[in-house]
Amino acid sequence: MTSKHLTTEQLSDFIDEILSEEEKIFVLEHIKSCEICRCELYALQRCISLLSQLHNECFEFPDLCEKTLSIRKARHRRKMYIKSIPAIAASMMIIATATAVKSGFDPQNRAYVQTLSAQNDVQSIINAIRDSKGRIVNITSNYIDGEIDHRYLETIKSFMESQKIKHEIIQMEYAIQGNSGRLTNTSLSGSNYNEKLVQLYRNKDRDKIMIRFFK
Amino acid sequence: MSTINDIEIVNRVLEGDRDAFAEIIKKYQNMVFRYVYYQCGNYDEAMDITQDIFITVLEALDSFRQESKFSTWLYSIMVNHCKNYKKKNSRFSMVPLKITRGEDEVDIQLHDTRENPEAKIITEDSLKIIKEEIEKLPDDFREILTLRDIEGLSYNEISDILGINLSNVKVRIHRGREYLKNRLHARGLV
Repeated sequence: MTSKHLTTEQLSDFIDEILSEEEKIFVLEHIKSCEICRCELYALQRCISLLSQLHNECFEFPDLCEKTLSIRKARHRRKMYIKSIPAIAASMMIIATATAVKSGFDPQNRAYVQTLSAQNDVQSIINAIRDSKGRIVNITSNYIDGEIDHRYLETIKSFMESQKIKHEIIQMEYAIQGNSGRLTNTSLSGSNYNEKLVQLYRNKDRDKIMIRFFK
Repeated sequence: MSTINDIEIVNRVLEGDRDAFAEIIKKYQNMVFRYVYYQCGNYDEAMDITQDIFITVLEALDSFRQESKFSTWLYSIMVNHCKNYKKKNSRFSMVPLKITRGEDEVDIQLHDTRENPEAKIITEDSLKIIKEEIEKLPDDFREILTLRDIEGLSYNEISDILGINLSNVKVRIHRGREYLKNRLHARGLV
């Protein structure tokens, strides 16, 4: 007998019967004469035997088949639903976009007209004058003169500011000249007096304001 | 023979007969539940995990290449599922090996087929201790001893299931057994 004791590896492999024939004989010979290794072997065998007893343990549980398959079906349905969400969202976006485009092309749609107008200063000015119940008096390559009702002055000013369109009020204070009934611009005098312009305002009421919009 | 049956059932499931999967559940539910139960130590939790494992197996069935035994493939999923669950739930290995029924906790019932009452008492006491000691084992040892000594799987199967080579399987088994033997020795059981 060798003085060296058997290792746990040797004992473990001996129990599992995975030793070669030669190794097996060596272990058998050793444990015959070595009480310490024999005890170790029994302890290890007992340990494994106790573990293997747990294999016979029976657990009580409900019908796992039905339960598992029903959970799986429910999860599958939920998964399919979740998978369909992007498709639903995409469809809704397409519908919303189509609706927006359709309504945008509607000539009656004021919002869209305004959007288009914003892209075109001249068109913006014309629309603003028209919306202010006014009229275009003069159009040149540099500016547009428009006559508007004084009630729309603030609205049109704020719109022009928002559109960054330069504009100014051409001060016109009118006076009816005596019996001729002619309208006189009292703010203009001397050589600046513009008879032609005053003529344009003949017979107009005094609530009108003329504004020059620069292109 | 059983492997052929498994593959036949798998093919039936893949052909659209989802109910055929019930046969696989019936066949493996005890083994899977037992393994999971010894890894987590809680009856209800083990039940939920077992169900999840079978659902995962069913959903992954398309990927079963039939290059290994179906049971080996299923056990791999089982082991990995438990590992992942363990990572997500730190309390996984801290729960005692008891069944929780509402507020009550009762020990798992062992159905011993032996007639000898004395032997039965010894077994029940011993098993109670060994269950407590399994709970205290490091994860690697508990995992491999469950597969080898409780389920009786071969070294090769364990190697395939855990994805480690045979030498590592042997080393882990040796160390695990020695660790457990020392623990049981300290409690006067071996």
